[in-house]
Amino acid sequence: MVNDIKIKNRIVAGDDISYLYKQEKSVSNNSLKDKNPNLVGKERLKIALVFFVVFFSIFSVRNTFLSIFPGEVISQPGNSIALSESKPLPDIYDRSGKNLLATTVRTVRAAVVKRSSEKEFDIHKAAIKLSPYLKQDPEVISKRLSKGRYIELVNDISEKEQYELLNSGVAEVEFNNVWRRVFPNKNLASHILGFSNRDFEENSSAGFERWIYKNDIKSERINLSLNINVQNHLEKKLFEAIDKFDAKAGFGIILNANNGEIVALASLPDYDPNKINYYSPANTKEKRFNRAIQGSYEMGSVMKIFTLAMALEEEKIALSDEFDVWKCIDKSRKGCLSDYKKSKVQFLNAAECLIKSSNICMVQIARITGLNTQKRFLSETGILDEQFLELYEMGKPSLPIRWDDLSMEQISFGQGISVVPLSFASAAASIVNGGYLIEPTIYLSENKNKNNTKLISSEVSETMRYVMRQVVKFGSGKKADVEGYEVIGKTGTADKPCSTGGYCGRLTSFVGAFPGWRPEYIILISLDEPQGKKGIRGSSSYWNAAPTAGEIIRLSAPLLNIAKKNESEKFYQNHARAQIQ
Amino acid sequence: MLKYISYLLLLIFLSINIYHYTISYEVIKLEKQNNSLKKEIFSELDKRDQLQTEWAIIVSPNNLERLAKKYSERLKLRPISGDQITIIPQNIEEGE
Repeated sequence: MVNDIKIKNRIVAGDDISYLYKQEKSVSNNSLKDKNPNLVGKERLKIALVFFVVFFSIFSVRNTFLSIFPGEVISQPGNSIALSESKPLPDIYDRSGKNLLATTVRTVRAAVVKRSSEKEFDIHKAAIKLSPYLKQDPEVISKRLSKGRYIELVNDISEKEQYELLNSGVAEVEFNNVWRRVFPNKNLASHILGFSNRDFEENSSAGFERWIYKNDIKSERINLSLNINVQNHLEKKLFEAIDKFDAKAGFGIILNANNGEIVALASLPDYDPNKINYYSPANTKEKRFNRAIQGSYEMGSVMKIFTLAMALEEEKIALSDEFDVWKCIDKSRKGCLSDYKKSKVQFLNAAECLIKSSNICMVQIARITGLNTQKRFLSETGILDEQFLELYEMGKPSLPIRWDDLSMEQISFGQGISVVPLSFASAAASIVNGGYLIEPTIYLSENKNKNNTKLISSEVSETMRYVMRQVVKFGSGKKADVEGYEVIGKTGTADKPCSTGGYCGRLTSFVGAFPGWRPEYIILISLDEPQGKKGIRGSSSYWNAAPTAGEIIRLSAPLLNIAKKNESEKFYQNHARAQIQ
Repeated sequence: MLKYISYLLLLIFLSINIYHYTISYEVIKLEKQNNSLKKEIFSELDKRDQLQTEWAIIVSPNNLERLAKKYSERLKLRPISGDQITIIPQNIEEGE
């Protein structure tokens, strides 16, 4: 090649030959490549390597990313779980942990979802197609379908019903898994458990269910202090009593006298929480009213146990002190204060005053103890305050506007003050349990010991147990006695204040405890406006509340593991008898 | 020499990629399997819940009382009495 150039262009001295070098250089380079293919290969390999490195990096990064975040690919539609794993509310059991009171189950809801435009969806046609499956008139279904884009058709359907609805030919029908709260025992303990609506909205719930929402309780199960069998007896016997005595309503409470656990609580009439109409609560207002905790009542003569206990605790009187029960009390009234039954003897000692339930006597005791002592003592019992319980429906007591001497006298025998029955029952427990104050609860209490705060001394409590035993043995509580349990208690028949003023109707009550020698449970039974019937001479608590309580104690005590004892009342009798004699 | 190293590297790269690819799909497959197992577990849990609820309805005091009344003559059922309860002392000595 170099020779050829030389031949074609003759070079003479002085010529610029630099271009020849350039040409030669380029020629020499080309010739090198031709001669050494390794160099060419290397160059190509370099390019290939660059590509490989780039691709490898991309692949590696992508693969690493996939390995670390697999969900990106995996969570495709269809793979996700339809409902959350955990139930929206915990299961509720009774104190045994075996009886299920409330649970949540997954059910299927059929709904019409209008995805297409209104014109494409023929409501009338769909209504005719759905009519045989929903067992409703097509016109009614049409009306329902015309409202909104998501219309609930039917809840809790079986697989067969689901299949039938699918075959109806309405493409807009969809099925959703939904949670549903179920109360297997229906009406039983409905006033404690309350209810939840289908969408689990806090405001459409009541009772303990509402407590769970508001406190955001996430545990899987909760054991309540209720004994479902005792609850059943309480409700059954209460229902029978209401029916037998033509009463308007009734309520009952059984609570542990030592730790405040509510073993049973009933208010009748009640409701089935499975069937309640959440969206029109007014229809069930009467049934939903929990008289045992929401209402406040003038409890009548059962309040006399506080008057006597207070006087004994303050050492203002002795049990043997006598009072004139023929005395005319408070002439400022339209007459003299009278007793339910006039005593045949003029003078009664303090114990007899309670046994005979003398109003005249209680007023005299209250006058001795004084207004301030009464206020302080009743305040200490807790009946003047709003009681705490794990339910948001708790009612408030109704206190006298002006707590003067007249109020003091009325309160001494159970008038002029309305208290919440549950507060009253827990205060009554303090009178007989050795004097210890208790806090009622519907949770299974881990602390089985008594509260250390005392209302009265153990001695006064023992004396009160003795006197209350005499009420059941010889007084108005006779029909509440159960052989072997030595029931103690006090009856009360209170006139109900009318909204128009004055009094109309009666509330009869029995507050008691069993077994009498060492009370473990407090029972309060009340009937609203019971009537006297053929074979039943009166409508006082002696005739209705006391026998109802006795029957409930007879059935419940064995279930509460209380053995009968036929050895007499020597546990506390000697002490109290000595005080009287 | 460089050529062989390049082939080797290429082979390694491809192997790693195939391995990663396989692992990724294995994971996806396992996740799908896991999801279907989860669904199965939920379905079994649902069945358990329903059975528990049905059992609670069957053994509800109302139902048992109704059955007890119905078969009281045949089974000679009587309500429990306080006489049947015996209190055993806590400090009882162990017998032979």
